Amino acid sequence: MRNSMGSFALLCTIGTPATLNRKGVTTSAARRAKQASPFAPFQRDVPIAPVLSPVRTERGVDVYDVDIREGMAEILPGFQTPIYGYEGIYPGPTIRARKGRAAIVRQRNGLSFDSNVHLHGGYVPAAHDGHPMDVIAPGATFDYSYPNEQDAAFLWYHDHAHGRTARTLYYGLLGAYILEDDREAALELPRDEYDVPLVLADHAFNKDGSFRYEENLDLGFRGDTILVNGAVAPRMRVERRIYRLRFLNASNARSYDLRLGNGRTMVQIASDGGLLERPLERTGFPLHPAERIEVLVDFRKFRPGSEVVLHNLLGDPATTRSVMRFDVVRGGGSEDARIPAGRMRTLERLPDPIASHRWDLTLQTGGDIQWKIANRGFDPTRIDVRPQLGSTELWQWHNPSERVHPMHLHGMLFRIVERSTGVVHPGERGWKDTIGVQPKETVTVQPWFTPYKGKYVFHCHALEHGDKAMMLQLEVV
Amino acid sequence: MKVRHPLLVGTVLALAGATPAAAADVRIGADDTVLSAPVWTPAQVNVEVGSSVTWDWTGAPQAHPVLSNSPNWSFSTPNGATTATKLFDAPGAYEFLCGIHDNMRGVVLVGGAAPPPPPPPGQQPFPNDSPEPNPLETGGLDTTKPALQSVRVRRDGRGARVSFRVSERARVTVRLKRGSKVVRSRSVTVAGNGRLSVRGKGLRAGRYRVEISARDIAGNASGTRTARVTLR
Repeated sequence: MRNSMGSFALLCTIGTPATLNRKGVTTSAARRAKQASPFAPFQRDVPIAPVLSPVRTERGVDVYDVDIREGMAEILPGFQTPIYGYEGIYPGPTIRARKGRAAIVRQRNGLSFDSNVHLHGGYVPAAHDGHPMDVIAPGATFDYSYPNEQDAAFLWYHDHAHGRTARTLYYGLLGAYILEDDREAALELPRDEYDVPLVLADHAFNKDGSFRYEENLDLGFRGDTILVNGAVAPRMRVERRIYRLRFLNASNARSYDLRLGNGRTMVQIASDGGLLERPLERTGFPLHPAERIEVLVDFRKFRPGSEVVLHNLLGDPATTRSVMRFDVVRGGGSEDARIPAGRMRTLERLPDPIASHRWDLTLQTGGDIQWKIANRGFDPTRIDVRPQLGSTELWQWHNPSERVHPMHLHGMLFRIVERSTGVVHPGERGWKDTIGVQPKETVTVQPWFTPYKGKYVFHCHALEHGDKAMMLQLEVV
Repeated sequence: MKVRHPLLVGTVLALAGATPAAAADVRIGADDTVLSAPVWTPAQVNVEVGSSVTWDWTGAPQAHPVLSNSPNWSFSTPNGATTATKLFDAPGAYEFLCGIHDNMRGVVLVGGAAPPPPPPPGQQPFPNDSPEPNPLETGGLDTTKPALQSVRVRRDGRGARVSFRVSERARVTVRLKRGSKVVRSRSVTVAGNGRLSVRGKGLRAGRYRVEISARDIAGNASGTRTARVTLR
């Protein structure tokens, strides 16, 4: 039952920092002793992942080169943490693409095991989607072709090789993919350094500073330290301007309920699949694994010198409550961005559904212990459902279990029709690719099986659940 | 949240309380106090050959199906069960874990067997020994209105020149009105002393009203100061 990653901890502890330097002896313990605590929050400025530049452009297609490889990250002061990373960094470089301009991302697998790349939330042909069984062997490369024909959205890319995403994402194989378009540009939203992707993930550490992973098939991994863009609960200097904050929950299995300071207002403008129809004032929002929410925060309203903590109501007060802090500084110059007031878009009207399916989400505790969808575990040789291209269906996620299941559909988007626990929040009425199904809840969604035919998967994005083996396969015909 | 290591906890418990038992039934329970890091209680038991051990997690908030975790035995729990029993009829160290919680481990030591060695330091947790809870917010919203001081309005050719002092960085707007109609308007962002002229061709002779107001970056507005000027 133990999977084949037994040697992983070993892989991740090579590269322990030099513990002895004979002249001017410095040990990792000595370095640590100089820090009040390596986990104290708000000690570091939030790192922003570099934006990847195309290596060339061929007939209007931007071509990117990415190495999937091991790397080192300084996450705790004085320690080196071994990671897996796109370009050897965590989080990986951000790709900024534009609607109507295709991209090819050439991924070279420099790891010692199979890997692949899934563009989460992307309209991508099946062969380029990162299906769990389509892997890149060690040393091989694959050109992922992304048409970028969909509306602007905050997508992300991550490893999806079958059965080990809980480890590979935890150890760093993920990055942001920001798709922009003219409609969004016309809204004059904040840009450049005022448009900030924030990747949230919980981690734990070993005594040598390496990431500590503990398998928990039931709850999923829970770390005692929150990282934002790879830094322990960092701080971010903000001018008195409007900021666009793009939140991604890249945690294995932790859900967040985020609040800003003393319940300050944020204006939600987008969810997984891009802009909402109208901006929405919120004082907080839930964010389940793999979900994205984009908000505008008007820091002009705060006094200079203010320190405003973004915190997670679901976190432990002593450790995982504080997520990051915004430090408001003077200045900022004239503001040329604005907060939209009226309609931002009109969502497409969906064709009427032509079928319905009910998917029960349960844990099997005997024999081969695993999570199941409709009493089935993942079997790549079996197609579980065959929807027609261009059609819609009603899919009912029924969750009798005690855990949240962030259910994700590859290659397509859906809209939420109904929640058994209450009305669908306006912030969830846009396009979605992942939805947190609460314990004892039944949620009905309406996927639109477009734009490509082929084999895709849908699965729970609590990574331990998806790996074992809460994933089924669909073929759009 | 302190991450406890089940083996270490188990060792402590064993040293504190457990004594080698005669052939008998021994019960091992589950402690879910920290839901994300459940532990067996006790995590280590010493028994004589011929004893049976029962794992019982009835009523626990999560399932803990027992699996063997050392090559000297093979054991698993039927689906849906909340107890499992095993008779040990040969000496040895029988390691076990929860099939759902990988780090929920333990060992049954039969007939005086030695416990397995602890994990290497690199696999022991780095306690997250941080912090006091933080205040959620300091500073807060800026609700202070900018104040306009030393406002002076003078005729300046075909228009008016306004000088002023503003208490904080703000956008100051001067409007020239004839009756209720705004005929000229200008703005400037300034901190401290500033000056603005409103004038231009097409302004007819007569009496005009000059309105001066300031708005800071947070949207707080000063009151409107007014003056009159007569153009000739």
